[in-house]
Amino acid sequence: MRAAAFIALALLADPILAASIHHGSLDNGLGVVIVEDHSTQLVGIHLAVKVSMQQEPAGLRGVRALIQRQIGTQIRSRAASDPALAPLNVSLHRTDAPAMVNLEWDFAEISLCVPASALPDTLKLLAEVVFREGCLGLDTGKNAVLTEQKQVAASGVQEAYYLFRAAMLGGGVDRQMILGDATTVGGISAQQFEAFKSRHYVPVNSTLCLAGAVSAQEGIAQVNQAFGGLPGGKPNNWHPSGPAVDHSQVRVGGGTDVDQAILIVGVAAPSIADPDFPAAFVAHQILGGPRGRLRRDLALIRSLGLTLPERVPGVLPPIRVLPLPIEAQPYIAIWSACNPLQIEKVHHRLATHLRAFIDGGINDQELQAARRQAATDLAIQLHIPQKCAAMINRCQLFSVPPEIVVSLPAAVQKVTSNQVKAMAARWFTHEYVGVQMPQ
Amino acid sequence: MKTRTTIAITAILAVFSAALNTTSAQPASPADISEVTLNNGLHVIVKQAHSWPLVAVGVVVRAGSLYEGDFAPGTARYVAHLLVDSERGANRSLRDVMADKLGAIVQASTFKDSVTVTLTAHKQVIPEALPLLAEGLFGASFDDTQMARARLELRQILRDSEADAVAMISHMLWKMAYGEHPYTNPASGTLESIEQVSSDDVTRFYKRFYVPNNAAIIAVGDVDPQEFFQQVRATFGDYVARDIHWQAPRVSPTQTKPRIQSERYQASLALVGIAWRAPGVADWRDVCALDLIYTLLRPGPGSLLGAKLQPGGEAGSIAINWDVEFVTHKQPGLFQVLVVPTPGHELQARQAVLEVISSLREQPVSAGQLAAAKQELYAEYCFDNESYDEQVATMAFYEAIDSYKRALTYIDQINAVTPQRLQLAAQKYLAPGAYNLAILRPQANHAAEARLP
Repeated sequence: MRAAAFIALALLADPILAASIHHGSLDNGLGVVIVEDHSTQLVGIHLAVKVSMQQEPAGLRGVRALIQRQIGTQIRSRAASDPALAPLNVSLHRTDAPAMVNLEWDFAEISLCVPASALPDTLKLLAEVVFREGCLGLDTGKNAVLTEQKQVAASGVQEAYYLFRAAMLGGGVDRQMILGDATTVGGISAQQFEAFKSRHYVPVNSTLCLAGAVSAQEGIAQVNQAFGGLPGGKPNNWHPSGPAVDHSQVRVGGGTDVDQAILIVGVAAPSIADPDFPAAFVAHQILGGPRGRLRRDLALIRSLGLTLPERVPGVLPPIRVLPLPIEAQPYIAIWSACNPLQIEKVHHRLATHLRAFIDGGINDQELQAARRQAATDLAIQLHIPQKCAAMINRCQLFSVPPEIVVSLPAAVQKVTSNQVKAMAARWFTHEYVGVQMPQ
Repeated sequence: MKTRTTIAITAILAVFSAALNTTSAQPASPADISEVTLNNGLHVIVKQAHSWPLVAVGVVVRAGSLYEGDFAPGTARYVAHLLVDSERGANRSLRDVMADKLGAIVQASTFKDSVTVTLTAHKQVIPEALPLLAEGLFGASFDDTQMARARLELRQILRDSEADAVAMISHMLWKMAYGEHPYTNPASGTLESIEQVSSDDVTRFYKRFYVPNNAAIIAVGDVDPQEFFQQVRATFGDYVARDIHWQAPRVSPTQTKPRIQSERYQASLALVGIAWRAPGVADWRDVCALDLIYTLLRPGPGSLLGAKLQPGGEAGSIAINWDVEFVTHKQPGLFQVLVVPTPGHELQARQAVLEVISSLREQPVSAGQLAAAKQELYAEYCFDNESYDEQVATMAFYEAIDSYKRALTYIDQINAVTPQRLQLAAQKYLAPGAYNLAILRPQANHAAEARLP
């Protein structure tokens, strides 16, 4: 590791903060961020690989899903059998643990958390399964991915989300299923798997974040020990999805597995690196927070035309704002289930809620509550090692420096109603809609 | 150790969830802690952690079901619900006010020994939150309308959890082991018990136990201790201390013979519970030894029970799943093993549990097994204190039954347990004649098992 490449950041946004952040890269190109915080004895570990769906050749759609499946399986089985990895095994069996492996359109990620004493062995395992290992148990992996494909295809919400995404980003591979299709996944050979993995799953295309009870010095030494000897590989010309198309679009699909129409209405939002992001985060709270506008719009709930048991709207609302994602092209989008005959009315009301930000009209009380809720939510995310590592590393993937991320709780507290209005005027100009109708 | 086990059983299929063991993390070293006791007896404890602009503040009141001796069962939960979740007249609930005004997240839990209310919020709102918390918990009064509304809300909440077979069998086991001791009252209340709680119960319980000298306030996060003490003095300092006039309930004499009880219930699989009376916090070394026995038995790669119940993995096993529960209490508690036997294997599953317990009494576990259990417990301990609110919860848990300091030395005590000490604890508490066996059998049961004792 090049010591000179590591920068210790003073967190200027809030001088009281004691978490210190170091970032840089190993000689082999692996990007590394270390967030030191000793308020717990845990270390969150997040590894992201810049490998997008666009990089899967037509005949290999779904190969990333196969690779992720193998990484997950190998981590689980070794954690269960190797006594040195027993703390990791405890972590993987926690009922509230976040997903360990995840696949997005633009990247693949692995998220772990262990007590600091188990960090060296866990990093070695990660280096082994992500960067060294060839193809293992391909047929089992294929069966698992094919099963998952069927489950996703049967989900009206997932289909509507694909349609919404296609409406926002236009054509191309972004509108296809992230898991590939049965034909291509079934036809992938071990050689193709290994060739793809060794081309893209390499340190130079990857970033790693450790957050928690580890000093910069210890963290750098342990990362070097586990990953430093790996060849860097070649950069893979990665380009994340986006930007959003410059006109409104509606995409409609149909499925036999849904009884109601599933509707997602959204607008593009600024990325976390954009100065407008704090205003977008507050707008997201105003709309979808626990006491947000959608929860209070009883006319909207009634317009859905659904016959719901008395308690369902409170416990499991049929309208929800999707989380604001950390992506190159994020969005603020509302999901709803409704009677197909009511779809126009519901669409109109949801779109009205989004457009309302352009006209302003945020009262002080609403703004204050949203800012405070946003600041608390962000601070809660950041103070949990595994979530902190994931948030900071995803941002690092999109070249957003960690100091911007850690300053967000302070930044959202300063957002004004005029800033929200200006942000909306800039970003909410086009509307993207995905609809899955029952057939 | 504090543990929570969740086993969801539907009418069609009984499924054990993974054990959710919230053992105490060593959330801080003693050097990180500042504390003060106000003139009115309120104990204030602060752990500074300045990495993020976040604070969790918990108020723990020794007002769990243990204190229901002079009141209807369920009173503790009823009062906690009224204080935190129920609307009061034209005003919204404390939870809603905290969320709407401050963006704070409020959690309230009723346990056998205590009620804990924790709020997590950005550090800037803490000065505004403390007066709301103080007034909400120590300055409340209830009218009949509020009490009636709270009863309706609780009925709905309890109806949703009505089919919880684990709660049902656990209640049976507590009753068998401790008879009429208040620990046998489910801390969350039941549909039946809530109906028996009167307005008088609620008012008397609240006035008697929700006093500063019977409570503590614990903060973890980005706070300055001296500033926090000052804020707490200004907001909680005027509430007057009162003697709570409480004496620990008598615990019935030691059990010397097994007790067996079975019931029918609406499900397709049987549920078997075997429980022994266990040490309270006063026997701290024994608690730590039993925590390790709990770790050795519960589901996991090296589980001693797993080797007997599922010797070849799930295929050919005599149990579909199992779990273990042991929560440290102020007074003696209960060590429970719960098993869902494979149909036709109820008797073998029961015998397997007793054989494993017997082997723990007869010979010490190996040093390797004990070291692995300690490592596992340590990892659990770290994960259960991952966030500031969890660290508050852990310290509050121990403060309610003894002192928050137990949380700070827990792992040291665990590491001091030897194989011999563990064997002694098994001999002392998991005695062959001192178990309680409760069985929930499906309505339409296997003919042979229907005749089992």
